[in-house]
This record gives sequence, C-alpha cells and structure tokens, in this order.
Amino acid sequence: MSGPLEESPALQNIGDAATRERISSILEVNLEAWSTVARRERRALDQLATGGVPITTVASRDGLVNDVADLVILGQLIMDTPSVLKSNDVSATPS
Amino acid sequence: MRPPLRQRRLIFVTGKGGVGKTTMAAAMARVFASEGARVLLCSVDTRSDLASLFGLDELSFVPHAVDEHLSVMGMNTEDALRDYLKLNLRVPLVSKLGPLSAALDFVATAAPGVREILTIGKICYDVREARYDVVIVDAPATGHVVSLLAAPQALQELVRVGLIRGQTEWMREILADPERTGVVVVTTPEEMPVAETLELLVSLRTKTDVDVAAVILNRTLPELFTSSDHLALDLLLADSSWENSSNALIDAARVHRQRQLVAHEHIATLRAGLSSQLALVTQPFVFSAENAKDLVDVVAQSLSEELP
Amino acid sequence: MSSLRERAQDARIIITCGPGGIGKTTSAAAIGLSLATTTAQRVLVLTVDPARRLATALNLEGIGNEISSVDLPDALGTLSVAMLDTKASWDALIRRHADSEANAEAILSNTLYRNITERFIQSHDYIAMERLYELVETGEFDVIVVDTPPTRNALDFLDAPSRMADFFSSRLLRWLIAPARGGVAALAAKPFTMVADRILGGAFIGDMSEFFMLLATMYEGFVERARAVEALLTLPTTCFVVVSTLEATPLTEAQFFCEELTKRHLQLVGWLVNRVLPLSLAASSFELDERAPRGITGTAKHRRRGDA
Repeated sequence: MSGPLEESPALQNIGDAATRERISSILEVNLEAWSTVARRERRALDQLATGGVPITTVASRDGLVNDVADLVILGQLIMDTPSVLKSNDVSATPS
Repeated sequence: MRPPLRQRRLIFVTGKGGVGKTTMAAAMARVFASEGARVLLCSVDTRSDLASLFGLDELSFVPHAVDEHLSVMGMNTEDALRDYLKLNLRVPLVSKLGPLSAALDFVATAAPGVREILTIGKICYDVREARYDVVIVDAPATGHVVSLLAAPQALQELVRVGLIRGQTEWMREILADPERTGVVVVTTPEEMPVAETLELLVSLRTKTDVDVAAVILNRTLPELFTSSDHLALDLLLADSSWENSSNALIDAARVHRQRQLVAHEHIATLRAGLSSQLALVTQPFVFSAENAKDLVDVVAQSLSEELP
Repeated sequence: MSSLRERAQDARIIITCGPGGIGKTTSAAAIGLSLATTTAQRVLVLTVDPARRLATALNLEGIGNEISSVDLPDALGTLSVAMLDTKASWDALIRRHADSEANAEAILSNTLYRNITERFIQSHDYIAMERLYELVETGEFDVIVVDTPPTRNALDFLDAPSRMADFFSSRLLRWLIAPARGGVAALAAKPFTMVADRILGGAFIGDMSEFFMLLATMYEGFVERARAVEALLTLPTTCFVVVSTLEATPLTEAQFFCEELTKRHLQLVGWLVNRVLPLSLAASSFELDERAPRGITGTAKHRRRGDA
C-alpha cells in the first residue's frame, strides 16, 4: 500500500490493527478496479482530443447536484475550466 | 404469478438511453442461444450498436446467422412494407409503384403510426410463424417504446376499416399474452433512469396490452465493506489532510463511496415503486471489459445465473 | 487554453446535445445558471426533452409551456426556465398560421391532428425549433440555453425545419390532398391513394385528405417560418456544445453527432465531458504533484512514487 495512507493519523485513529489492515487491503482492490476504468477513460480522452475540438472535462459529480447552489458550482466548472485541445494536454503519462 | 422470462417467446428490451439496453439485449440473446433456443435478435434501428457487437458493418433486414442458434436483424420499414404488400395485397399495381419508400413516406406521413405498425407487425409475424423459439427486440428507449407497443391500438382508433385494421387484431393478441410476450426494462441506480423506469411501468400498464416481465438493475457497485467498516472508511475520507495532497487510494475510495451512497438512494426509490410480483434482476457494474464485445460476454455470463 | 465561457461569449443560443444519460439536461441548467449569476444577462433555459427533467434539477414542479423564473438572490442577471409542451405549441402554431378561425378550429378538432401532436414523438422535433424561434423573437432573453433529446433524435431536431419546409413544397402534399380536391392532381396521385385505400380504408383517406388540405392553407406561413427557424441554427451566435461521458457507447454516439455538426457548418464550440474520474486513478502507479490542479488541465506534473 502507498505511504501516505499508512502515515495518515486518520487511519491510525480508527479501529484496531485488524480493521485497519482489512480496510487498507479493500482500498487496494477498489483502487485497482477504478484504475482500470480510469485508464480506459484516459485512452478515450486521448483519442477524442485528436479531433481538434476543445474539450472541457468535469470531474464526477454524481449525487452532488441537488439544488440550485450545486448547479451554480457545476456551471462555473463547466464554463471556466480551461479546455484541452491536444492529446498531450490530457495525457496521463509523466511529462 | 407471472410467467418467468425464460418461457416467453417475444421479449422487448427497453430502458433510458445510456443504461446498457443494447448490451443487455445482446447478452440475453447469447444466454438463450447458449441454452439451445433458436434466437432472433432484432434491432429497431439499423444503425444500432448491435451490428458492431457481432462484427457486422450494418444490420440487414434479412436475419444474419451469427452462429447455429443466434440470428440478428435490423428493422427496416421499407422492407417490412414490401413484405407486407407481397403477403397481403397481391395486386399487380404494387410492382408499378417503383421505390416503395415514396409510397411509404406517403402513408407514413398520413398516419404517423404506420412505421410503428410495420415494425411491430413484422416482429409479431416472426413470432407467429415460429421460425425462432425466442425473438428478442432491442426496442426504442423509454420515451419511445410505448408508441411502438401501442401502435396496434393507435391504428385501430385511427383507422376504422381497411386491411390494416384487420391486421391489428392478431398482433394485439400476441402482444397481450403474458405467456408469450414481455417487456424487460433495463435501468441503472441513477436518478433519471429510475424515475423514467417507474414512469414507463405506468405508461405500459395504462397505454399498452404488454406485460412487464422483469426490471434489470444494471451497474450496481459491489459491496466492498461491512457497515462497521463504512464508519471507519467515512472517518478516513473525512480527514482534512487529504485535501492538500492527492492519494489514489483515497480518491478511488471516495469515488466508490460517493457513487454507492447515491446508488443506494435510487435503488430504494426503485424498490419502493416496483410491484412485489415483478422480478428485479441485479447486474453488477463491469470494471474490466475493454470493449463493447467483451462487455456482452461478461454480462451474458452473469445474466445466465440471474434470469428468472 | 480557452474556456467554454470565452468561446461562447457572443452566443445568443447555446444548444447542448449528445446521447441520453450523460448529464445533458443538468449541464444545460448549470450553464444557464452560471451565465445568469455571473453576467448581467437575461438567460432562459429551454428543455425539449419529453421527460420533465429540468423541473427535477431546478426543483420546479409542473412547469408547462409557461416560462417561470428562478429566484437567484445574488445574481447579476436573471434566469427563466421553460419546458416544451408539444401539444400547446402545435395548437399555437396552427392558430397563428391558419387563414381563418374556422380553418384553425377544423384542424384542431381533426382526429389525425390530435394523433400527430399527442401520440407521436417525431412532431416534437419541429415544434422544439419553432418554440425556440418564438422565444428568440420575443426579445425578452439575451441568451437561450437549449437542451435537446438524445443524439439520434437531436439530428432529427436539426433537420426538422428543412423537412417541414420540404414537405410543404412537395408533390407529396399535393397527392395527400388530391382526393379532397379532385381534378388532375387526383389522377396523378391515384396509384398512391389506391394503395393507401386498400391498406388504410377509404374513410381514413378522407380524414387524412381533409387534414392536409387544411394544413395546405397555411403553406406560405409554414414554409417561411421553417426557413427562418433553419436560419437561426446557422447563425454564428448559435453555439453547439456536444456533451458526453468517456464510456464507449455514449462517446461513439456523441462523436457521430460531432461529425454531423461539422458537416453542417454549425458552430461547435466544444466538447463537455462529464463524470471524468480523478486523474490520480489513471496514473495510480504515479503520484500527483501536490501543487498540480485536480482537473485535467494539461499542466499536471507527475513524478514517480519514491522520487519525492
């Protein structure tokens, strides 16, 4: 597991060692599962970017848009996030 | 008790756009075919994604055998009309009409339900002729499926006499028989798909003769944690130290937790709105499928264990 | 790198389009809200989707064709929302173009007319554009944000005005009204009406013919209007935003739509990709620099774990 999580006081504060160990290992499995999806998304985005149309990406907002105030925040994200144009700009590989 | 889905001969698969309706129809066809049934999988849209799922450029009106048990076709109302006229009119006039699309445009413009009736008529005809054990229809999405399934009634109201009027009777008989025909509504644990599913169930009941065979709740996330773990996890995620640094484990946990919480709410709404007699089939979120074809295989695998 | 706000700053109409289930309606509402809160403009959000989704997002129940305003205490501008009520809009259109009160009433009470406007969804597409035009004409709004039906329908929605104009200028319409008029046109249309007669029955043909004859009295008004509506879509101040997620199926549909917009030389100002997972997950073998922005803005720097 990665360093920062082990060092987190939040993790140290919860439950017993066995619980911590169990949670940590489930988190690893969970990360692996979502990474598969995220890497697929990244490839799709790279491919999309070759089309030359500027792309605005908005992070997952599931369940966070419940009222007008949430919509205002989302609207700001949509309108003001700088777009990407080239696949290099959205590449997840180290520069 | 409702007849189980596996016994029905004509299954319409519908759902809100984006919930995995086409994948589910294809997977269901795979399941039935692998169990030895002769299956016709029919898309109402020739440009459907079904074509690519079976490695075809386009779906043809003439069923294409993908394997020994499974054939796929795409509905084309002009071809359906040609079939219909050949079978029913037997007048020399038909051959002089030239391209039928002009005649079809004419009739369809006049009576907007004609395209729907040709589609539903062709599907019901295949069921009546029994060349297949099961016909699975990748039907239009929630907003449009009712006008397809209610087309026979609509036309009966509109047209008081004439050839088509007589034709609608036997179609309605097939459609209204829950032993033979059923609708499967695919949904996901999200707000709009659930809301549209519940609305659709009402419309199907009030505006069509067709029975609902099952609701498939697609893309449900795995329950990774016990409820006591959730308390610990929520504490961990709430730690302010994550705000200044990015940790993939935490980010992934947050994505999972957030989506799961939202899903739980919508699953509760769905369950509350469903009749207890209606089969609710749950299908997992697929993390690993690299492409649409893989996805069908994975879904077929899990669907074969769950279908009523 | 420019933002959507910069690229759409001269827009008077912003149309969000794309497949279903990817947050299009919410995005349209969010764009409208953002413009209304941060600029001194009178903004209207128009949703043309059959499901009443915008109402849910904005906590507005039962909004019909009426325009209602959203209370935004600290906003620089104002925000209004409108749903599209197909039947009410058609009725208004008929009343506007009919050459007499009697003709208007005759059309409104025709069986076919009721069926066309109530039961069949295709008429949605034209009326949506018509309604948009009407709202532009009022001059009451500086910007109108339009939410469209899912992709394949949204294409119809782009083509609807020209199809409507073509229909009114076509021989098809002359044939449709021929049985009611008699004369040379009736002779020319004979093969068509004979087939239709056999299929649909004579009484129906009568209804139909009457309906289209009444409709033909509105020819000039309709064609002129349809052309004007069409012109509206091609204005440089009418901007299209294609909305999708990164899942394979919706993305393929969205790309198809993107190509169609380009082909039609319409103003495509950008992609809006919703629900993107955090970058850290895709790069899970790397860690994000603490200072790097969390979005994918092109400036994120990465380093290998352990380099720190």
